Amino acid sequence: MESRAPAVVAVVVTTGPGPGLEVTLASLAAQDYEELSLLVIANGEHDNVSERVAAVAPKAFVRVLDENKGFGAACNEAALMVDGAAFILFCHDDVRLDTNAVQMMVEAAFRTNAGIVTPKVVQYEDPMVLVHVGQTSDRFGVVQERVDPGEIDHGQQDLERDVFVAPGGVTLVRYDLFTTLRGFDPLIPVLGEDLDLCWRAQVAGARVVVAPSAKVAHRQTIATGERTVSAVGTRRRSRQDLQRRHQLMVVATGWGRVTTLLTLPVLAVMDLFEFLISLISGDTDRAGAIVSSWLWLFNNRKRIRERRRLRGQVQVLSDSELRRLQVGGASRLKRFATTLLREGLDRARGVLPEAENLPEVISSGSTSGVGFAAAFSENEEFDEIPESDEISLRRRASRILTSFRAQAATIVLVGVFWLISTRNLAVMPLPLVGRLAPLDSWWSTWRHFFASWSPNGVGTGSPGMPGYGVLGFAGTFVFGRMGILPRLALIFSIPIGSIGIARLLKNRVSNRARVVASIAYLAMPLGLNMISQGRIDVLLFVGAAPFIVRRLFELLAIPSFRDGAYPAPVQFGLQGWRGTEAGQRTVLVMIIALVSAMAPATLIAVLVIFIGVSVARFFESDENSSRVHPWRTLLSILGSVSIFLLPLTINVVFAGRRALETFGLARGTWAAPSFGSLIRGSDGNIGHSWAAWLLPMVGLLSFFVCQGIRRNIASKVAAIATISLVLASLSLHHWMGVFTPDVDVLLALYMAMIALLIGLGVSALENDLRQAGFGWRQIFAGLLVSMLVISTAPFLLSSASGRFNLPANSVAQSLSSLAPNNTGAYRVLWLGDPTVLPVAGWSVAPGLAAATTMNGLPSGSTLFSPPDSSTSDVLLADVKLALQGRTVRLGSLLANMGVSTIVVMNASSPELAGVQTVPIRPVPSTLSTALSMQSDLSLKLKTTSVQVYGNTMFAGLIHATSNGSIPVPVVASVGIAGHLKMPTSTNVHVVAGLAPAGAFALSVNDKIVPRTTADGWAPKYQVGSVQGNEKVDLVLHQFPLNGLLALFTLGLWAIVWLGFGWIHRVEWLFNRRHRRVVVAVNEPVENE
Amino acid sequence: MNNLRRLPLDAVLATALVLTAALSTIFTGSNPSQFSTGILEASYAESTALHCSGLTSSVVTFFNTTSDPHKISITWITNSGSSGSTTTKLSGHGSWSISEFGKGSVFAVEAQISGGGVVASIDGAGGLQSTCHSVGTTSWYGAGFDTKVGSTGVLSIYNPTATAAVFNVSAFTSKGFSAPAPFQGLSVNAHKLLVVDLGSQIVNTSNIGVRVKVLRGSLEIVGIQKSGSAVSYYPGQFQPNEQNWFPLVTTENKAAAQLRFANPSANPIAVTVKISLPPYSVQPQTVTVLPFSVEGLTITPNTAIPANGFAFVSSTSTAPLLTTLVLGTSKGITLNAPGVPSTSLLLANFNASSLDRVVITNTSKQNVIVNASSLPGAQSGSRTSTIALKAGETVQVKLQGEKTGEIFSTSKNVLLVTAAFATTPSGTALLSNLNSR
Repeated sequence: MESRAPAVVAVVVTTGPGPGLEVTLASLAAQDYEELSLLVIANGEHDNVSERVAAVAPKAFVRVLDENKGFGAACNEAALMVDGAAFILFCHDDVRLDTNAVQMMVEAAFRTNAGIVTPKVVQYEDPMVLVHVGQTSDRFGVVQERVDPGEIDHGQQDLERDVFVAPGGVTLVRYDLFTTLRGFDPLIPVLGEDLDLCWRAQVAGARVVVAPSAKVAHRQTIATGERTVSAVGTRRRSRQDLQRRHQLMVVATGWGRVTTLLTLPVLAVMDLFEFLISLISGDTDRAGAIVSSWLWLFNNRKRIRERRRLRGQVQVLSDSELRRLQVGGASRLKRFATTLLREGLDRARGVLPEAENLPEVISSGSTSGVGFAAAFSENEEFDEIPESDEISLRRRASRILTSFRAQAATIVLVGVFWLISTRNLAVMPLPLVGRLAPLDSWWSTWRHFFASWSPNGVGTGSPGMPGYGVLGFAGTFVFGRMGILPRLALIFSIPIGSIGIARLLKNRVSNRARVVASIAYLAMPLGLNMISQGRIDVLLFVGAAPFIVRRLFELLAIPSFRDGAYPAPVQFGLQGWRGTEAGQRTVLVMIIALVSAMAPATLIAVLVIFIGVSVARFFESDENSSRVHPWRTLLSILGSVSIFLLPLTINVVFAGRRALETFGLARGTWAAPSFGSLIRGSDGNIGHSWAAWLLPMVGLLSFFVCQGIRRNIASKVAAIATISLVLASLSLHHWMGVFTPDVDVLLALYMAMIALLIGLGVSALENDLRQAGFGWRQIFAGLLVSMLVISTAPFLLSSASGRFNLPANSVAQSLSSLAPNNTGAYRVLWLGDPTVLPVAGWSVAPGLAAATTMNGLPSGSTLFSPPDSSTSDVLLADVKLALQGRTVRLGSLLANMGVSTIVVMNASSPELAGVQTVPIRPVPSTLSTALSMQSDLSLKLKTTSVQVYGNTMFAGLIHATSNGSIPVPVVASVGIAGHLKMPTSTNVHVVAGLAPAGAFALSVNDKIVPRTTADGWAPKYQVGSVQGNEKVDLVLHQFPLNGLLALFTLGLWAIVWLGFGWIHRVEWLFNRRHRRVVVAVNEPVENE
Repeated sequence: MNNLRRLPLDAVLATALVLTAALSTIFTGSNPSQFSTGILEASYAESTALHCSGLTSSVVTFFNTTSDPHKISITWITNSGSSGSTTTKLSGHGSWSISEFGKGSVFAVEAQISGGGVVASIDGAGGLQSTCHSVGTTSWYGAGFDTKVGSTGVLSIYNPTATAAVFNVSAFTSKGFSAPAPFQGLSVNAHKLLVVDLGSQIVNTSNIGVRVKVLRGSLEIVGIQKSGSAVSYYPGQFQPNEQNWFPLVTTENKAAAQLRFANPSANPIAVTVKISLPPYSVQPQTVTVLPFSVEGLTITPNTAIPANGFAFVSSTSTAPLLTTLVLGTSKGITLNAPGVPSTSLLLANFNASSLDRVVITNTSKQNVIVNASSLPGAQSGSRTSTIALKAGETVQVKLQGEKTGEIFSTSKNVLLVTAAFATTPSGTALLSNLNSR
């Protein structure tokens, strides 16, 4: 039985000079496929086409068209001439087919029942380089190559498979399919006709297959500029114009009604976005192309309707089935995000990269888009015609912030900007706000640590707070210039924290992501607000938080932080011990202890981290979950810290109900930041603009774009951030009773987590986004980048003052003239919101803390209040009585305590319109009412920020009475230096407002006088008759238990510090020296 | 890790955040603006002070509502500068009076009390009576003063604190706002008395509204209105109110009753006055008070209101304004400030004048239970009874301890106690209740 091969008509469309026409025809003539006919369509210019064809392929038919209506129209004309053929092979006139190409394509068509078959296309000059192996498309009609640029053909693509687009050049189409589809759309003369045909073919149920066994070389004369596009209607149009409008038409008519309604608006939004960025970057060509494409679509709305009607007639596949044949995502948007990240601002601004890195093909005369919007371009060109030579530029490696030079430059730039922004902090007189009370001398600061008595409240014999030890230790490094320390904290805490963020992300994300996260941490409103409020305790935590988090993550074996075991144990004191688990734990404990000494709420932050990690692992366990015992670890850390901070621990143990106040005092709910402010990290005047929302939003978006290992870390980070935020809110509303941890410390942790999320998010953009299909992630990515840039606005705005709005003067400083005259020592009682008081105190009621200072303004001796209020409870109880309106003689109650002045603060600084704004945190209103009804308090000053009352019953911190007379102050004797001057009378009693009573002794002529107590707490000495020439001394008689405790604590720190290899070093020093001596006697040194 | 697996953590975190945000938004804190008031609360105080001012012919009576003895240190000063002091110890449920304040027509007395629960009233002839206060004020309002010929309106201003006080006095009359220069920037030294004669600057005017704005410190202010032979102590109002209650307003023949309004704001205020006079039904009366102006509404005599004993009168306005009840006869009038609802009040009739009627009023829209406890007298113990009051209800009560005093208490700041002395015609003099704060 005779079998004949199906007839194939090869249609070669030639236009203009057609420099490869002869080769094309020759290769077709040489085909080993016997049922192949050749039809040449001379499209427009046709001077000598017939002769040229006849010379190479004498059997070929030639049809001459008067006008070049485009490739599609010419093919349609050719199809009309064909009758009885099974396939039509549409060919450009610059291709070269292998001799078996047609045979292979026809076989593939039969084998796969394909409607359209495309060959493997290689470079004309170098057949080893692949150009096309079919193409794919996304749902927006953006075509993507299946091979990489310059990919060498090793046979890796030699598998017949379905593709979405058969790129023009050589395309085998089943004749009946072609007629069913009514051929090419004449409205698409060039650039897009292949996508259109293939799309419609697949809607009609036909397969599009690549047959790699058929090999075709394509010269791409239009792409290489050998000739121009000259079809009717295209002459004044750029390739970009044509490409966009044809894509748009295909999308507008390629989908069913519902999908079209969903797809076109999204495409419109993306085009609008691209349009705006094109305008910003000055890429008018691209902007024009975008606009004209939509106009063209509108102008051809009749044709659109016609095409949709035809589509309905031939439709076999549903939209969802068609969608499955395409690639996911929005290729153009994805390309935008990756290009922006890789090539960044240089590209965005249209500035070309440096010459040495550029491919030679870049032409300065190019008119194609180079600017920011170029990032939108798809990875591969539509059709086989590249947009421009600069396509290679887009394929180059990412540039912005990827080189060491760029990163270093950015860091230096940010550093310089930070120094400019904090320039005044270095030189201005520091106001008495927050924790900026002037420090005592280096020696005095150490003395406070060892002191047996401190003047807080009415005096206390509690152990010295370890914060003094930390300050004394730090003061050593500035050679005792203690005034430098708060300035260092103000200026460098946040940058150190930023470095910590970068360190935290090291080896987990790219350097670029680290730089971005660090800058984000620098720009967080919380840190800036803490500068403006002088909260150096919180600033220290801001600086240390990233380091603590990193070490805790390592300890908790968070994936990528610690995936393996610690090094083998090394003996304590030997070098290498620090790297062991014990060493690492000890370093962590020491850091936590150091920061906790200044800001005890650090311990709560540590607790939050543990809870956050545990919660995240509960829902999303990782491979390391079972390797750690978080609660055991937590207890171990807290236990160790409590030993390192032994004086504080003892204080807390004896504090009773006030123990929980160690971590923070209750603020007034009426002045508390809203939940929105908490999310923005804005506890102050900075960060109230809408731009402050952006950083948390970026963090949130980052959380959602993270995948894989990044997601694993991000889930922990997000859990910690959430718990911090929730805990801060609970604390502000007093929903945990007296446990009201410092909100600012919790917010600092929250902000660190946001910075981490941002770093992870940038990394996700670099990595995860490529793998994800189009969806919300891509949209978020665009938002994320924009928001990151805008979010720095509050930071930039607040930097103008050179001190981040730290007030130039304070309320407290304006009170310096209110000291009583000739009364010896006195106390000032400070009342106000805990965050407003310039001195540490104790809580009286929510929103009201009380503290005292000796002889005027706060100083270095009252920087820290022991949690145990002990005898000072009498003072707090009296204030509470007044607050409840249960006394009208507060002055009398406070007189024995030596309180001469009561300062009620609503703000830390005076509000000066146009000069400085400060957060107003008023005291409970009832306090003002209560103080105004006191019969023995005299209002001295009243402003929005402060009220000052003088105590009319004040008679000196130490006062004497004789025979029931009015108390008189006991002041230092003028004649006998260092001694007290007593009133000359009989039966003299001396009352000292110094607690505890047993700590002090009054001696008259070196003889201790009997002591009782007044009001149940104040020492009262029965002096008897006073002649006026006695030597009277009030001395502290206390066993130095606190000093011993401080010494023990210091020794503990020293021993542990020696454990970091210093014992070994010291040992080595001695041993080696000893051995050297021996060796010198017995043998040459070199043999040692 | 697939998306489905991620959902629980995302959901948990989102839920926690949303829940916290919602709770934080709903339960926003407010700054506590006042102490809990009431005579019972005051009994827990460590120390209290009482101060009052009046004519030197008056008697000040202190009464200890608690069973604990309290030490009282009393100082007084008159407008002529004479002063004095004394100390006494008030036994449980005991009372103690002081008079004879020396030269001067107006005096002020201040008592420092160890502990709380002590109340005091200042009483004069002809039912003249007022309450001593424990808290000074920083803003004081009054309405209804007269400076017509035969009338004198003065403000007795005492500074009970150790702070020299500074204040301004401004007035509202039918001619509008007035702030005489001599009334601006006035000062009173600590524990000193100043008398401001309204007639010195606002001459021959009826129905004067007054505002005292204390710029510094706090003050005890009493208005003293002499009108013909009648004298009244006017305690004033600390703030304008939108709603006021006057449970005992006489409608008797030959009596006079009038509501006087003063508008301290820049907008006109419409006032609706409801008069309850069973069995008659009286239509609500409406008055519009112009900005910074005054207005009056005559209750008695009024042809629209039958003469039938006591009426319950309440006023409601579109904005806060000052309201005073003026009572009297053709011989003179007295000023009566609206009562301030409280949780516990003492009604004590120290001068033993007989009472015509006592009513208690629930000013809230909820039912309340009122406990009435008579204070133990010399021969009798304490007796307690319970009265159920419906929302907005006023009931007449019979005092169990008329001679010793009776404490009415409830759980909310909604209670008013009003008593009228037995006068002819009835209801022309009211007895103030006592409150320690």
